[in-house]
Amino acid sequence: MKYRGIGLLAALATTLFLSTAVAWSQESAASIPFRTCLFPTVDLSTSDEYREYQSIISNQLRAELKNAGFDIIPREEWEKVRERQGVRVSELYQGNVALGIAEEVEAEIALVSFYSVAERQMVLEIKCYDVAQKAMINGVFKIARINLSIYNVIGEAVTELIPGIHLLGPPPIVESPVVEEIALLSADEDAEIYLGDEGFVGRISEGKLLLPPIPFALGTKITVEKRKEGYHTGNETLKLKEPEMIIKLQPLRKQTRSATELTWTVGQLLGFGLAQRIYLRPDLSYLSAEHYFYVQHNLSDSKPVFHHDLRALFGGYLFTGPDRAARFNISTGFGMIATYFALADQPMYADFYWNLINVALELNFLKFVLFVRSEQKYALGAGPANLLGRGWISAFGEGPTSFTLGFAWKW
Amino acid sequence: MVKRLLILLLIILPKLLCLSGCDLLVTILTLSPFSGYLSQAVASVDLTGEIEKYIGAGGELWQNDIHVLKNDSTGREYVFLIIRRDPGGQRVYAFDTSLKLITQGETDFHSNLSLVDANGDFVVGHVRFYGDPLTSQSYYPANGYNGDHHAFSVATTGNYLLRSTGQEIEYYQVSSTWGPPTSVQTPLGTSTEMRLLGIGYDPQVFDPHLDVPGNPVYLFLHGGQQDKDEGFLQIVWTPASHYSTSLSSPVFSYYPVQPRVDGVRGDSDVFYTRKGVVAQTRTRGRYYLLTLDGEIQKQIQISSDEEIPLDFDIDGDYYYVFDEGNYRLYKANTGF
Repeated sequence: MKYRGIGLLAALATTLFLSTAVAWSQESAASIPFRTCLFPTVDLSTSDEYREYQSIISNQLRAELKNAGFDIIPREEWEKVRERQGVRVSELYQGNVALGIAEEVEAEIALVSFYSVAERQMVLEIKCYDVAQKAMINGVFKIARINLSIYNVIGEAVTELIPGIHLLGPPPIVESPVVEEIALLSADEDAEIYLGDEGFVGRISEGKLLLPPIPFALGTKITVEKRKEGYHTGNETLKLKEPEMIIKLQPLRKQTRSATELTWTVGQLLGFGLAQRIYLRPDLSYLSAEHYFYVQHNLSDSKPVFHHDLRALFGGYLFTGPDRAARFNISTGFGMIATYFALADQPMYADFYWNLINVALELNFLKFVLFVRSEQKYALGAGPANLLGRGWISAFGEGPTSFTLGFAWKW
Repeated sequence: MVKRLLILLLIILPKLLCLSGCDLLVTILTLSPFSGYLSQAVASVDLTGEIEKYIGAGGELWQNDIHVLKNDSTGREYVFLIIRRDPGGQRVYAFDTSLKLITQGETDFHSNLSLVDANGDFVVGHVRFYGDPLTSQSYYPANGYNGDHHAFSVATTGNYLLRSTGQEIEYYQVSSTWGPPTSVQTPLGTSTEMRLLGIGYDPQVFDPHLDVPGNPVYLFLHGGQQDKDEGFLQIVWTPASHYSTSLSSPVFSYYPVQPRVDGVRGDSDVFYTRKGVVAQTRTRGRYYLLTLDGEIQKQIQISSDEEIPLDFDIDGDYYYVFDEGNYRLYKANTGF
């Protein structure tokens, strides 16, 4: 107890010293006389052995706050409220309890402090609240052994606390406008619409879908996924530019099961071809049967020679999906050109060939395809009567076999 | 009916377009991987039986050649198809112009000779065809003019044969009875003379042609670099009378030489017709019709891309080709 008295004196001396320093350093805070409700320090220790620190800490806080210019509300003023609210003093370390009292006495700042000592080790915590915002402004947390240095620790805690006290003020209003309404227009009736994380958001009905209210900020990009039976799933990224968006969705591409081709080939220009594609996988791979009829004539004094080019092809697409506007197509197969003459007494000829590879660039429209195709055909020279013998079939003498312009209608 | 209308449409529509003078359009529209003679054909004959009988059904190595010769004094014209076995001799088939096989002759060695000789007989390979009905006599002429000779004849003075030895051009004057040569000259005796100006390589074939007595003998000099499609053609007008005495040398500076025609194949035959000179262009199977001054008049597509044996009649109305694959001989319109 003897030493405890010395300790108290030392604490007071330290307090005075620190008060001076804090008063000097917190001049700016003092310029704002916050109406402050300083609640007494609460001892949460399991014994009463260290109760005297309550007043030491409280007094120090009071002195420092006053020095810093805070307007301390007299205890009598908030004590009435406490009693009316039925709050015990020992509960005044709780922020919400303290705020409830402070609010009634129209305090701007509420300050609570509490400590606990166990095995001669003090844990000290001081918290400061903005009453209006019911939010903690600042706090300090200290741990120290109970010896002479405890007063320095208390002083440090107070010193650290006060410079950080300022009103938070009302929370800033985020002026970030959101999209209030998004209407999707689509010709794909009954198409299901999915939105990223939101998942399924609705179905197109009578050409329209009003999206459920999701507070997308203006300028946000959203990806809409469209699904419909018999159609390829489509994805569209949309930028939300206005609070009320009416967006016309791109139509879905129907899964092509078959297509009919009309073709025109260099070297066979006095004629045309018709082909039917049957897709093994919609818009990805197909089998095709073609009949190209053409006449050989020099446009002056010829007797026409008739050619029927029949072939079967297996084809597919590389690198490009069904939703792409331009697609690469390759195909291969076998064929036979039957030839007969207007000239009498001529036999019929048959030239069998291997259509080694066709490479096509297709412009992929919703209902049809336009394409240009390079074709490489190799005559096999097989059969009893053929005209081409064995070798590459070319209308140019040498080089590529031919080029075809084509149109394919999708079914 | 529908098919006919369709064909009519396919032919008439481009035809209307070509009336606008667009030759390029016609060229594009008529491109075909099939030989042009197929649609130009006016007659054809299947020789499978005949040829297989000669070369064997197994189709041993063989070559063929066609010559169309006309005796202007009698008006008789025949088509001669030579089938050469390799190794082996050759058989010459003679057809009339409707492609009816008339007769044939056979020898056991090869010869390229083809002309209507000074007697008015047809000498093809090493076979003489004469008389009416046409009769063949093998191993004629007896003195063995069987090399790579190009020949013409003048009824009053005899037969003239030219050939390139690779080092020089020599020509022989031979009597109308095909006795030993009475004169051997080398009008282009040096390689320098043989080189056409600015070309730098030797002409490979000389095709002399005397059409009408009194007219010049047209020497067709053409050649090209080996393994290259690019070639040239020059036509030299030489007086027939000089052949019975002596050609003045050097030919290129002494006689009128027409402007050089480029863009022709150097390894292909040149054909004289009364409608012009026909030479194959660099595009295989496509032929120029040229004036005797060397100007291009027209182009026709005869085959697709392969070299095929063919010859033109002297009037330039028809050409004759042989389809080696199907053993079929065709007579086709030139369209000239």
